[in-house]
Amino acid sequence: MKTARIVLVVLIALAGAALAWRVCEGLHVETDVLALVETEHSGSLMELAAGRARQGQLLLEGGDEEQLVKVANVLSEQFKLNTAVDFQKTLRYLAPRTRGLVSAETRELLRAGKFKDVANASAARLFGPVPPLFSVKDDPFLLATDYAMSMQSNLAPGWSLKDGYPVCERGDRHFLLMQCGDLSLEKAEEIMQGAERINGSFAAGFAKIWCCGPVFHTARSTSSAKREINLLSVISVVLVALLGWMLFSSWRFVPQLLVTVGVAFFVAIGALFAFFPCPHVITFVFGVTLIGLAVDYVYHSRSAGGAGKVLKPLTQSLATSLACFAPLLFADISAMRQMALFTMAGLAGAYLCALAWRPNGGDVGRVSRPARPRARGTRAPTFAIGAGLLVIAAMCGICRVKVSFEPSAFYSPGKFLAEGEKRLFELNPMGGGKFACIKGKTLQESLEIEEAAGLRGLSAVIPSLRRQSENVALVEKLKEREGNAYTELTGLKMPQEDTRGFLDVANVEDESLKKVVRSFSPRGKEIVVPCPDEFQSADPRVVVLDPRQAAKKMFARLFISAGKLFYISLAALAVLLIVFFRKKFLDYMSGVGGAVLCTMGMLGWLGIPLTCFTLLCFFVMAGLGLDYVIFHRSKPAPETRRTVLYSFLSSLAGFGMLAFTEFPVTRGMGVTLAFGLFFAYLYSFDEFFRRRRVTSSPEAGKQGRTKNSNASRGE
Amino acid sequence: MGRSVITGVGNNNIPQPIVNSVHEREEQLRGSTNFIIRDMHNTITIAGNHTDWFK
Repeated sequence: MKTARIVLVVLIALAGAALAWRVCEGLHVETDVLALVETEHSGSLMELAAGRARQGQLLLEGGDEEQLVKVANVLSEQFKLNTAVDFQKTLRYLAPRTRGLVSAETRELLRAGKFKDVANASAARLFGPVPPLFSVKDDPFLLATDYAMSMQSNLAPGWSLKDGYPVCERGDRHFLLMQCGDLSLEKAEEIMQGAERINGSFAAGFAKIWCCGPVFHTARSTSSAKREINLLSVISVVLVALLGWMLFSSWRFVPQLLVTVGVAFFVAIGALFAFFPCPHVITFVFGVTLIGLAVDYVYHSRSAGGAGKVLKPLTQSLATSLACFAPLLFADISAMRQMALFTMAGLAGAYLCALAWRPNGGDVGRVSRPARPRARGTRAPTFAIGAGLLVIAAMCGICRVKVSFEPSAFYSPGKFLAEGEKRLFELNPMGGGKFACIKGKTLQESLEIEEAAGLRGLSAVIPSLRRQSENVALVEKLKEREGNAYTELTGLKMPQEDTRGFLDVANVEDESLKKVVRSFSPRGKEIVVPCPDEFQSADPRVVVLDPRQAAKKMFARLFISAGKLFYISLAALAVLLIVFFRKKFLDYMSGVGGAVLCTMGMLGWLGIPLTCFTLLCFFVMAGLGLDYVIFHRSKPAPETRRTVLYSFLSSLAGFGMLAFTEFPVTRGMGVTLAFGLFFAYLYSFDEFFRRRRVTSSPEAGKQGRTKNSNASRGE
Repeated sequence: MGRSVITGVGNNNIPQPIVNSVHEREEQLRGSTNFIIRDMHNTITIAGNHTDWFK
């Protein structure tokens, strides 16, 4: 025990040093799901996600466009959204910078040599319903006016501007879009609650409000997770404390439990940060399983009257759990290596803490007896038959198990958000959900690459300087070819000198245009543009991203890797069990295998898909489940059974609560762990494998054990 | 949509004129710094002071 204490102090000191070192450098935790697995374009995808993280849209739907504008103005004022484009201000800013601005349609005509058509259209515009927007002294063909008009729809492709808001019409329904950039999660939640209130009230007849975009999903998930964590953690803690009290009939186990869990987490976090400067947040979520393992060590060492009395099963339990997680250390996915290191270091900490703890208190070695001990000599065929039928029924569900890599299996938005996204998807002409990430050395270069690739993103609003120069040359040709005739027709003179400048994307000062630039280029160099499904580019600087497909690939890779490693874990476990238990290893191994199959079957019956996250739960299940068998068989007495039962119930109270969460990932993990632990516990009974006497006295237990060993030797 | 009327570039549906000369257009715009024209869908605002646009 003294050695255990020294090793534990050294471990804690090392963990503290590692943490202090990282704290000095600044602790960083990766929270992006896309960072879980490095895929071909995961860097670009993460940039795309980071750029869009705070963006959201409010989609207003109603029968009257005027009404929608009024609602939008009220919302803008109430939530200080500033979503409308002040087109008047933008036009004033543009006025001295329109030299190279020509609409895409006019540019095509000029390039095709259709100068007459352009001149005719210019004359029509000059005398038509909409007067020039800029001075005609420098721009007699009103090409800047034409550009400004086309820019309106380019600001939001497929839409036109009304009073500064993009609007569109589908059948008898009108839609108005409010683009909100840089929304905080609190404000997003406030807006959503307001929108849901309005949609459910009388005002819904005039306008319905839908919230779309990543920020609203994050806000809703965060608030729901906070609510669930608060409620479920309180229930879990109360249940675990109550179960401990029922086992020991005292609260004196609490300090030991708290210290053991605390030490386990401290050592685990220290080890994690020592090797990984920026670990993923999922490691900590998965690491919560340490609590279950630490509870096991405390209960067994305390109920036996000190860890020394259960040193052998405790060590076997640690060794098998380590063997279970060790293969994950060799995973090619960093998050898996992190999970393994975290759990293994934490387990070692909990084990050493259990050994180092000097047992004291009246409850040590005194597990409360069951109220009515079973009668001596009771056989258990009924249990074996019942459990056998249950296991067979559960296993039958395996044929219904589905494996899913679909992002929808990991996140499903609520009805309100899903409705909004569906509507926006139907109204979005780019629809497919693909993005082109254009990587130039400067924003100007990215703009040129976008133009060369034929995409209409930022360059459709602000052309590159090169394209503006080309436009000037085309306009010169127009003047040369049609100038005289046009002067004769309209009375406007051709300017001798153009005093206007170019519009430079890198130095935009107008707020509305700045917003447009930021929406396409959140980081200032690259441009991210929605692109059609069929878009392809040979230019290596243009990367086509399909976030949905990329997420699917990532989850598939995680699943396959976890699956392979689970087989290796089982093999490692089998080797270790042979070393520990020789011929009897199958009794232990079959329990783990059976629990795995039954849990998979139950997932099949419940229609919960097998995902990379539920698969990771099988590692925990194997580690914890094997502990039940090891302890049950180490000393087959009612006290041991009772300790194992309460240890199982505490883990169930901790992990099973996850099954009541809204988030599909944690719900799936909760269900998997709950059934996994239940079947592992069921398989840990001797009665499950053979008919034997269940006794209440240690002597009889010894006798039973001798019988067992004789039976296993085939005597 | 409004835009198809305004940017009649390249098609044959050039809108009928609402003024007959550039002089008439100049007269129409005179004295207004915030001349707002609404067509079916769009609100157009003149950029800047246009009093010297045609001089």
